[in-house]
Amino acid sequence: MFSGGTRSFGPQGPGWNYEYVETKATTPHMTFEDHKVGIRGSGGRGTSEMKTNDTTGRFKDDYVGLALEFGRPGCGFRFRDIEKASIALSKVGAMFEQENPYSVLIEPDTGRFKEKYEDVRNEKAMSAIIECLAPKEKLPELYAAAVKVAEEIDSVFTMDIISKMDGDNVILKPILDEAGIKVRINGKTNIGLGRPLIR
Amino acid sequence: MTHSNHRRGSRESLLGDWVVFTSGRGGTVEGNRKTLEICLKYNPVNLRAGTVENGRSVTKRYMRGWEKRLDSGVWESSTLEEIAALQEPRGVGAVYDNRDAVQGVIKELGEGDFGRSVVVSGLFDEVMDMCNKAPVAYTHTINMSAETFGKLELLPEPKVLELTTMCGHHFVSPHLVKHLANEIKAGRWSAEDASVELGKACRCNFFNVARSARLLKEYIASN
Repeated sequence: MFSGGTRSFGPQGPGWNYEYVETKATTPHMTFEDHKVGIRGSGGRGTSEMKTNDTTGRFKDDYVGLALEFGRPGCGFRFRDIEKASIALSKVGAMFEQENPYSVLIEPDTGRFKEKYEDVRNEKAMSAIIECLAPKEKLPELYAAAVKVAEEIDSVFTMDIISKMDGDNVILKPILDEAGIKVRINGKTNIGLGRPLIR
Repeated sequence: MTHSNHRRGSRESLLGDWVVFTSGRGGTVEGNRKTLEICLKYNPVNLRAGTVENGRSVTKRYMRGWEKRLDSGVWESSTLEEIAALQEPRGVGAVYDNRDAVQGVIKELGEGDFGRSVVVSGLFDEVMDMCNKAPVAYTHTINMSAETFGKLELLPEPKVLELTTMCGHHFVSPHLVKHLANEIKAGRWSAEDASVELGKACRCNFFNVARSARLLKEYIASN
């Protein structure tokens, strides 16, 4: 798994330690004993996204959060495929989450691999997530770009769409409806108990 | 990571599948302890709590039906009593098989106002209704699953996906699901023990073993 940011591998929060990504070392060697005592070497591939949005304010009312979980569910993926998606999303205005380990590998303004990481294209991993943000009006374009890329890859990705709430209303719902974007009836809800609260 | 965002199944099936967990670094030791007490009080199907032992972060895991006889290799179970006795619990995560339990947890966590972010995974409209009936808690932000794209022919059949997507990191293999279904069919495993065997690989401990037992029986009946 293309992993990063868990407590096992460095400081949490701002300034996550992605040195092992930068040095192409993949995940550190772990022992059975490490597993047994509960160290999660295969942990997060992304940030805490909306799970802590009540204290970080990462996603604001006028923005959409979009994530493409490459290789999931359970198929794995080649990095050349995820690069196609980050390039496509970049062209329609995606801003990549800088605390995500995949963002370490790409140019933020083009979604292409940085020159020093070009040799990872043929590597395979279980999963990696593109996390990005854009003004909410961009959602149909982001969605269309992702769906188009899906025709060009040798694996799968699962999509997340993150929205702030306004009372009982999903702020992005009118845009989802107009664009014909279908979402499941279940998912994750941050219930606003973090403190200090950022509404 | 979106470890509980893409759980598949019908509305009826998902009414028996709820995940509640704390996230982030806010809150206090006392708040974490009370959060754990509340999660314990509502009879969780699964429960996990982080703590520190000998200077190392560890996670204690309970799944209903995971008895010591089912421990294997690196997989070790904890009882609810062992988890309840933790002096300094950190992150807490629980799985429930009924709406009433989640309503109770949300209500008490809201009343406690412990300062740590809390996420509930499940049916959006039901979570919204539960928040409206609870003090302090409200729907702040949601993460919606917008399906899977690409070479969908690589995916296992839908019924198997209902099981494997209960571990969002996909540490539960579809091949193991099929193998254990055959073992149940042959009378060598119970659906309950097989569910524990599947759930062991889900390090986040979000694999709902109660729902799994039902899904395995449905899968066997449909094959």
